[in-house]
Amino acid sequence: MHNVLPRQTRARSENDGAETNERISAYAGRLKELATPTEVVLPANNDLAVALPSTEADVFGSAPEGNPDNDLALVLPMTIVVGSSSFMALQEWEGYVTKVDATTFSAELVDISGRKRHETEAAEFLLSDLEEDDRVDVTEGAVFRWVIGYQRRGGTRQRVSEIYLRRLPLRSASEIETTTQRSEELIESLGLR
Amino acid sequence: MSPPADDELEVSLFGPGFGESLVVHVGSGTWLIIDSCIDATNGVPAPLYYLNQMQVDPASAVKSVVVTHWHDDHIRGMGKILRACSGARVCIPSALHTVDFVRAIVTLEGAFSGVVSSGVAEINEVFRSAQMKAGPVVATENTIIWSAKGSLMAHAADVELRALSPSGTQGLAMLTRVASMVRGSNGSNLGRAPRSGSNDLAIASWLCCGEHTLLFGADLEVHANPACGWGAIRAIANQLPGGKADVFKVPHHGSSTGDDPKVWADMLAHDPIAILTPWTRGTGLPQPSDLDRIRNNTRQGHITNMGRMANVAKRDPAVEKTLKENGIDLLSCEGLMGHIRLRKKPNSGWTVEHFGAAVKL
Repeated sequence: MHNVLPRQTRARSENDGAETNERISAYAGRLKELATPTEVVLPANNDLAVALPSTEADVFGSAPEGNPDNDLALVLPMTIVVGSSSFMALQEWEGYVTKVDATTFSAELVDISGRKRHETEAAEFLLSDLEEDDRVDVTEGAVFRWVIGYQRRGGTRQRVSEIYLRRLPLRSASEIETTTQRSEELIESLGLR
Repeated sequence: MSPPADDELEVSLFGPGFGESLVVHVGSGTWLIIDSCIDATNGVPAPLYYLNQMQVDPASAVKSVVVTHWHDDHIRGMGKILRACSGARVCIPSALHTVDFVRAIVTLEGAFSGVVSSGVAEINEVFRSAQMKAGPVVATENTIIWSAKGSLMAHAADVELRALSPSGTQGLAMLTRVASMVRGSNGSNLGRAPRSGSNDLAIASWLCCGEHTLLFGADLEVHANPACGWGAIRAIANQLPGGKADVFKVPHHGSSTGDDPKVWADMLAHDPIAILTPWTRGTGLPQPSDLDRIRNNTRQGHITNMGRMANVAKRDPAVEKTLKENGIDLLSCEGLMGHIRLRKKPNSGWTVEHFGAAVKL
């Protein structure tokens, strides 16, 4: 099945498979952001209940001094277990939408599991696989995660393919201030004022 | 690979299917670079890899680096190029050298952090380079990018690289588009930037070297407004030095939107050497009709890659099964690097060589 979980479901659920997958995507994204130079390996054994710590800080602590040129350090398959649910990711891509028509959208994909740094593959997806509310966000340039893996809820294991549109958090006043300061410094250094 | 002789001209075009870069030897060990692309097999910007193969030191040999426009397929690796070419002056389109544009790219950089590649990170690297702080050449129509007196050259001919675009009208349109991207940074679903389009901003350039003139079309397209695109260039064509160009880097991957028949008729010599790179994303460029049109204009067409793609990786059987069940075909969008090299010694014709995936049209 091509299972695309709606945003609303993810927002309402607690400790279900949807939230688990949301955590995986957040976790993978965080790994990339930190550009950690060492591999992070999570157990592939479903029987090992590796509960995610309650906050990202518990997992990562402070950001390591990383070389942004290092390969993405994410090893699959990995299993995340939260409560009675688990998800074992077999393959993950990040993609961006290149074209949208009435029934489908096309995207270019970075193979995160294959440690690619650039888009090397492209695919076409059905818009109807997304919840109606999500479809309005499928515009050219929109970024998403696509994960294929095994989802276990209770005693049932299911192979799933899931797409998550990435949404940006609201920026805090201090973040906006920092960005403004950085841009003004750059403008000064370029002699544009 | 051996470098060209001091009195020899060279134009090398690199194109793996996504991206292109021109590396030009104008004589006496002096090189110019126009745009950047990455060779996926080694992860190195193609111009640097090539110069290194010839044991040419980019820090001293490269005198000018031109960033024709802000699109990922022309700018990828540009930060590394500028770091390596420490003696070069950088040239950027006029619309990018503005307070508004700098604010936009810093805002976008802070707002967007994805795995997918983005021209935002690369353009920020360009703007933080030593060359930008030292003062770029700001290109608009009919701007001299770089020049050298013939007395300094082994071939004794004056050399001049001149920007033909963008026009001021184009620059305004570019800033409007950038502003529309920044608005998403308040928390809505901001996507990858830059978006497609805005090729009308690109720097097309005109290289004169003695009796030879070369036209490099970048991604410039024809525009409905005659003050933009190729129409604006044709309006200043009679002010340009040199004769008609005998080498033409075909604009925008050979697309019909980049083709202006009057450019072929008025600015190019009969049967010019036409070189181009493909665009292997989306519907792909050039289309068969584009190839027919180029062949009708010249018998000397060459392309860096005619559809030779890397293989799609084999994956876990469970992943392959899921793709099949969902009717999803993964296609490769990673082409193999091709290199067209033109060299010319005084009093002789151009020689054309193909490397990698490059072929004659």
